[in-house]
Amino acid sequence: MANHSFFSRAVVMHAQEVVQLHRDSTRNNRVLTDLTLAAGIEHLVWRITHPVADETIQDALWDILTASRWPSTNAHNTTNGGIGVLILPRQCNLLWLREIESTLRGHMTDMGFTPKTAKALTGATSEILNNVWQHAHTPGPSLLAYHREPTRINIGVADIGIGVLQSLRMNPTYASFTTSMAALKKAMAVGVSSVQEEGRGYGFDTVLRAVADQWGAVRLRTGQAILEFRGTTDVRAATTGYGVELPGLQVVFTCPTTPGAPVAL
Amino acid sequence: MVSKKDRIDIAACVGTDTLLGKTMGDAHFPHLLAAILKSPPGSLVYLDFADITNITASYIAATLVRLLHMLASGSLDRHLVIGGVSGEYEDEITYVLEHEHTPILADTNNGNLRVLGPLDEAYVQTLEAVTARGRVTAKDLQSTTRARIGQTAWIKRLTTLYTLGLVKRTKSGREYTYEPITVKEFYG
Repeated sequence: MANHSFFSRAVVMHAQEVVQLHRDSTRNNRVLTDLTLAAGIEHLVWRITHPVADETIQDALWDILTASRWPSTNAHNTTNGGIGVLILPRQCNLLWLREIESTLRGHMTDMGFTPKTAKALTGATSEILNNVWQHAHTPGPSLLAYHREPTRINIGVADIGIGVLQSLRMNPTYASFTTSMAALKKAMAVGVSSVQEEGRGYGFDTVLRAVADQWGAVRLRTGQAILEFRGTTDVRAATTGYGVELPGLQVVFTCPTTPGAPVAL
Repeated sequence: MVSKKDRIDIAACVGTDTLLGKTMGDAHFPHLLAAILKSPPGSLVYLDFADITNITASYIAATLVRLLHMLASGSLDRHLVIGGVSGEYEDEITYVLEHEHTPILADTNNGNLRVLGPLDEAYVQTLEAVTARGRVTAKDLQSTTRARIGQTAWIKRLTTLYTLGLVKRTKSGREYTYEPITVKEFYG
């Protein structure tokens, strides 16, 4: 019964949030199209944590990649043209982190980002990856995906860990928090962390600043809470939303190569 | 090029030119601390960021700020100056220092020092007075400045600057003599 309920909610997510289904006139079958990076990784998280799915992240990832407009060959643990999908090491791996930072920075400078912006964005990405290793307590693999478009880059990190609410509540100061949205909003501020220690809580702030400087957008999803920033670091100006409950935290940001009007994910 | 034995090339010390996140900062901190402690107590240690290509706020908080807190608590007994800081990430360092309420002296790459991070106007003026006069005591400042500030207030200000690692001091008789930190010695 519980599985059925979960499945129903997931169907709602399919219809409303994740994909747009349309009929392919040539092949006369239904295909997934316009699967954004944010939608893709959130869909993936749902797939691999679905109680009856019983599939590996690789299988689910392959399915999504082949069913979407994302390039579908060499789907996981590798890169293909403008898209890269990598499964994170379970534990912090500094060498891996440096290599990823260097690879992404290379992609961004190739695309036309200034060196300063490229460094800020790769630094932001590394802060998200650090958060996964430090705070997610994930039982399964986590994922980094990026998608190069002609004038913007999309980067997403997804984990299936304990989520922001449970993580933040480990800190006695925030033990009274009861909703994912309240915890997520609080976690955006400098100094807020699951660990009660000085010099903590710069991760999300670094991401928001780097992206807002380019008038980009950040989407964060944990539990049922969805928080989106467009060209701002101010949590009061962020858009809030609610969706089907997902484990862990999924962070996706998009940045144009040239700052202009705020962009959407 | 900055030289001399108390200069620490950060990239060489930690083995990378990209300094990313708290995890990496925690891993590098013991190496940085060990390198600093090789210099004798009371000495000036120059942290050279010249070869660093990227650095994040969490890393700064996990390393530099931690060192500055040790300095302020009296457990480090060294003076720290940073140099070779690229304009690309100077803002990031300043941002973290502001949030952590701790300043540091930064070499502007020609031997001139300026304060990065927060410092109240009264302390800025005191630091300028020390820099302009060279060696001073609180009594000197009281007698030579126009400001109507008592000797006790000057002592308090100078002590704070010393605690923050922004000036040096030596005891002469019953009072302390303060002098500005300079990095000219690190240049050729």
